[in-house]
Amino acid sequence: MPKISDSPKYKDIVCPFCSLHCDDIELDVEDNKIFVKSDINESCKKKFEQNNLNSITTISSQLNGKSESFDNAVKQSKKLIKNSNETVILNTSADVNITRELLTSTSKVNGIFDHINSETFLKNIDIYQRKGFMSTSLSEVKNKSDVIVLFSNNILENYPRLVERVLAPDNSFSIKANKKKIYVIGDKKNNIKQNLKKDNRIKYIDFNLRDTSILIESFITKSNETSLKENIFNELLQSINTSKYLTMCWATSEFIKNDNCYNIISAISEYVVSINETSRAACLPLAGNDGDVSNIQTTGWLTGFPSRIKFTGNYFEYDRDLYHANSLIESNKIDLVIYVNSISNKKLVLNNKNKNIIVGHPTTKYNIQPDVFIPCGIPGIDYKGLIFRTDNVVTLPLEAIKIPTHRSAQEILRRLVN
Amino acid sequence: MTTIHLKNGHVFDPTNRIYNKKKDIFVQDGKIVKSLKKKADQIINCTDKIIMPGAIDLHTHIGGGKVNIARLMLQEFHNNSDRDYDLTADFVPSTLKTGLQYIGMGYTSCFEPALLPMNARQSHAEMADIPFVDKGGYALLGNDDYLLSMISRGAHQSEINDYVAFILKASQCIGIKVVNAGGINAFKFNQRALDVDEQSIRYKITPRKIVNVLARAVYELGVPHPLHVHCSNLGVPGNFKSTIETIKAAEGLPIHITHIQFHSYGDNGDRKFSSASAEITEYLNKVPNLTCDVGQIMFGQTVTMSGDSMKQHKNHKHAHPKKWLCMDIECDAGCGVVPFKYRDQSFVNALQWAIGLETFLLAEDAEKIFLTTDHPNGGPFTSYPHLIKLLMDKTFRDDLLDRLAVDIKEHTILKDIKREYTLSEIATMTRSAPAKILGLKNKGELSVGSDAYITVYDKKLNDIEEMFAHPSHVIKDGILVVKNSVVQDYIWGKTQVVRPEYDVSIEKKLNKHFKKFNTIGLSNFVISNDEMSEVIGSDVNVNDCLRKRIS
Amino acid sequence: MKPLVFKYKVNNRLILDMSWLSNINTSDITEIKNKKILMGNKTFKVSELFQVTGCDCNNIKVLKSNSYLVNIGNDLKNKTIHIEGDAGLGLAKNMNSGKIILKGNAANVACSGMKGGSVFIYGNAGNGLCSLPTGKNEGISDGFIYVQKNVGKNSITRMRRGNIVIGGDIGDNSCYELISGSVTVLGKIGKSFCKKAKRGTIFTRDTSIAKDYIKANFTDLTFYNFYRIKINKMINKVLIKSRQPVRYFGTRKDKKLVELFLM
Repeated sequence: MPKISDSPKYKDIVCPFCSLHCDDIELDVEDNKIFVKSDINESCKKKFEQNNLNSITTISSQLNGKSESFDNAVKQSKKLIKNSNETVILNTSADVNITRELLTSTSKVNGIFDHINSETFLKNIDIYQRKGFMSTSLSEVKNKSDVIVLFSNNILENYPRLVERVLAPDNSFSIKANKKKIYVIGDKKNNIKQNLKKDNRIKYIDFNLRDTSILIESFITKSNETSLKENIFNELLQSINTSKYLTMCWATSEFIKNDNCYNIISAISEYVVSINETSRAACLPLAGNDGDVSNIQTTGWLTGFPSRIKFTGNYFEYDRDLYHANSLIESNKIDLVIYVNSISNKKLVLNNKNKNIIVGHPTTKYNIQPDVFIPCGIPGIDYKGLIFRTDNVVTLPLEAIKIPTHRSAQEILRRLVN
Repeated sequence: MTTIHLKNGHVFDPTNRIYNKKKDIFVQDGKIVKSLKKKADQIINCTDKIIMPGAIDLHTHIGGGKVNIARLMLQEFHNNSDRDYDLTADFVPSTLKTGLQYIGMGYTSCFEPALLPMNARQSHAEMADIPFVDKGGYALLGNDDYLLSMISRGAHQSEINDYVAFILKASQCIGIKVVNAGGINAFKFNQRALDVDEQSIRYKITPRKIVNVLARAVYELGVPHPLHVHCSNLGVPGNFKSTIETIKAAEGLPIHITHIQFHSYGDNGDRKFSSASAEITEYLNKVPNLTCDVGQIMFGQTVTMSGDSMKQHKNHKHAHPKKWLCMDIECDAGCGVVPFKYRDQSFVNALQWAIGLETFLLAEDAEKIFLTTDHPNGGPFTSYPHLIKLLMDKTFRDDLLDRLAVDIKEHTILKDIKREYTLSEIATMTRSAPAKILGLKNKGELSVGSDAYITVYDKKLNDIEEMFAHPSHVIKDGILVVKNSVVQDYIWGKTQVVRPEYDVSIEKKLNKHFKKFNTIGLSNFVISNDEMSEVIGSDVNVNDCLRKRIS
Repeated sequence: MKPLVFKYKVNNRLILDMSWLSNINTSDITEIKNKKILMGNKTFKVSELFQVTGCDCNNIKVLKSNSYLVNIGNDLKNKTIHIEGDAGLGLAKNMNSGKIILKGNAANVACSGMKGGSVFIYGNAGNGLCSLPTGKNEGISDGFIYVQKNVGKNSITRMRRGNIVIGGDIGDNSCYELISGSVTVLGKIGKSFCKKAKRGTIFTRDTSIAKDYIKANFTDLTFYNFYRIKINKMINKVLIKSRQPVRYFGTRKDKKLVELFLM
């Protein structure tokens, strides 16, 4: 392994691992190993430092679980691609530049392109495809929002620094930060567990998120039809009605299991739109942590559509029902799936009825052995890149902080399809 | 690199006062040269052709968050039945289609006018994926909390100049734009209108003050492009008065009023909506240092996208189809995307159409007025050839006016205007003048030594629209990218920027502000040249300032 | 003229986009047979995938159809398509006019964005029947749809106009934001039916939903009888029998102008 004599200290490093993409990380790199110096949440720290594991740097390409040279893995992959009658290239976590490459690759194999979380993010896009939408971004929430309603069962766990950096900051520019009111509505136990620091500004309200649309309806009619206690409901309603800049924040992934997921988020959005007739309010839907926003935006400007695209020789077409990769894979309609998983190491569920290639984070987990596994470098750790933050507005630069031990996903993709 | 010989063409090169002169042009190593030592690799017989420099669009929304929101919002207009490679709608084309259509019309440089510094990285990444053309952006200021608080506390002009120069560098832009000065910010504090001399509740400053301070900063820094101003009261009947007041706010310093058509409305007549193009153009004709682009509207479906969230939120009631989005962005600005259909049955829309044309035709100097539709707000840029025909052909124009579904003849003087634009004037307003006002050296002209950005049209004077829609040859960077109206080769343009000097102490102050109040750090806000070329994907070309900074 | 018959002869698990059926405008069978279509990532001649006979391109039959054949009747104009077997996703998508008769089950999102014509599904229809077409904020804008058996959840979204008759049950969250048009459901109705509707007419036998509506004092049955006769005639069967329905007009909670006939 290459050895670095001096130990550079990096400041203002952007974390690639959750869609808040906090950019204040300080770290040291010694012997090509990362040591986080910032005083941040342990789970965030771990995501950086797990890249020091020997197993990460030494893992090689694999064919059916057995180590193989990169060249042989490429050779086998090319064979699988050639023999496939229908190939899906599935973005399971990538930055802007890898997404650009993914689209080029899909066009070369006449395949279908989708993102693993498309079911969720298409619901968010549905809101402004069907109706009006008022949205906001993180700094506005930090500096202007005096009342924040957060619908959360697991948001505080999935976005560990959301409270500290955005919802309940020490300083706000346009309002008094200590007067902010933050209502965290959802699984109270779980929410409290995630936020150990006591903060009087935050109130946790136990609520079954399934009934969110009833809560919103109750706000509109000003009569409580939910299971909430009357005094809690009234306080909440009072805060909303007297707010100067209300923010309603949610993560659609927390509603996606409900059949009426769209109806819930649409109800929140419509309520916010109606408040804007006389006062100010905005929505802040949080995106997933698998490069969802980078996928939407990049695919959006390259094709006009957010995902679910099939390249068909001389043209491409979008069909949100037909080219839904997860459903195609589940119903065995695909010959080959190429998973590209460069940032997250969330477990992938593969289908053994089709061939599987994974170009992925060295610690990518899966339920069954893929036919080919090729480890790739991580943008933000091994390679430079660009990534969109959850609010769709800010794009941040990802730095190469280590000397890479694996090829970049772009390079691997180019080798596979050319 | 191949050499090219354009033989015997009718050349229009307003910079060098060449109008319709038979001339040969030689291209070598990306430049126009006096002659070639050897026979050219490609000889193009231009006997029946018109040669102009590559066209420049100085106001077209081609990249950034709002454009992408519109693309995703209006998917139903991406035509699925027409099996072309790229199906995206003309008013929100994909990056690839944007490049193909621009180069196909002979445009070689395009400028995104509303580039939010906080959204700059996205805008540049998006524009980097537009092939062929050079691009650039105007950084949006005048609604950011930092600048407004500086003005409000009475900061010295030189400190503001430092900030403006820093923003230009950090966001890799070529100019500064202000949109509804202070209004977008005021909307965040629930103000619904802000006239030129009205104080905002939060900062207690007026749009006049903001425009004045920014126009001065741009001037004192020596930035070639004057402050690009989207006035207050967009689309409000009677707004021509605030437009004139906004021009006065610059106190004689250079200023560019954008999509002036949307700001030239009177409130006379039964319908309380009338044309004020005469008042506006009278002013334009007499005031020096004042330029404008028109923002002509075209009938049909389009989408309006603007940083002016205050006005766009008000306009959402007119959305067609009924959907829209408004957003507050990063204590920086905002955006509003509202789809809209201009209908010739509508009195207001028909009159808007006439007001735009009146403005073009009443403006005396083609160097002061630029051809735009404020793509896509007035209509897609693909309608430029049609617009050129409207300007060059009075009969065509009058016919269309007669055929409008609603009779507006009593409300417009369009029929009385005899003027027809000449090819020389079209060449001026789409080539030499925008190059000059943007400070693009060696562009928009065909002098020896200038960059070989050349458009060759078939001489079809009886079908001007067709002539401008499909030039036969386009040369960009000395490469023949379009031959016989077919794209030959994909090339990638550069990002044009300007870099006035500034006192680095502003970075310290900003760093503190960012740390305390922002959600990203200053170092990640700044986009470096290396990042532009290595990661974002577009090389940077730094243009000279007019002179050294004044204060 | 003999109908143009396509007998599917492939047995694999790849989806096949059948949009091209709507565009056939020739009776030249050789030309039809040689037409290139895409299955998976490869191009085939029609005759490699179908046994083709007949010549009337306005009267098409698809035999041995299965759920892998998608987008049958996409953008259809003035043609009749008979389908034997199941149909895949996107049946009658954006259909303009003409007629589709399916003797089998339709997969999800059938009839999405339909603008006219009639569709007869003699089987079940999956989820999202009459869903929103790409990007649009309104559902079907006209046409007639008959489903003999059951329909899945999240069906009929933001319907603008048209007539839908369902012989069986309909799943949860259906008729969301109904704008106008009429929907008949003879079986059971799922949860959250007709939420946030604006206008429209519902014909049902499921008494459970009537409680949300205001009972009308006066019942003029002219429209009802006209509708009953028309629908029965369309389906060629006495499907709607009741001659004395109870009429409800307006929702209790949000006072929306939805009309309900409890048959």
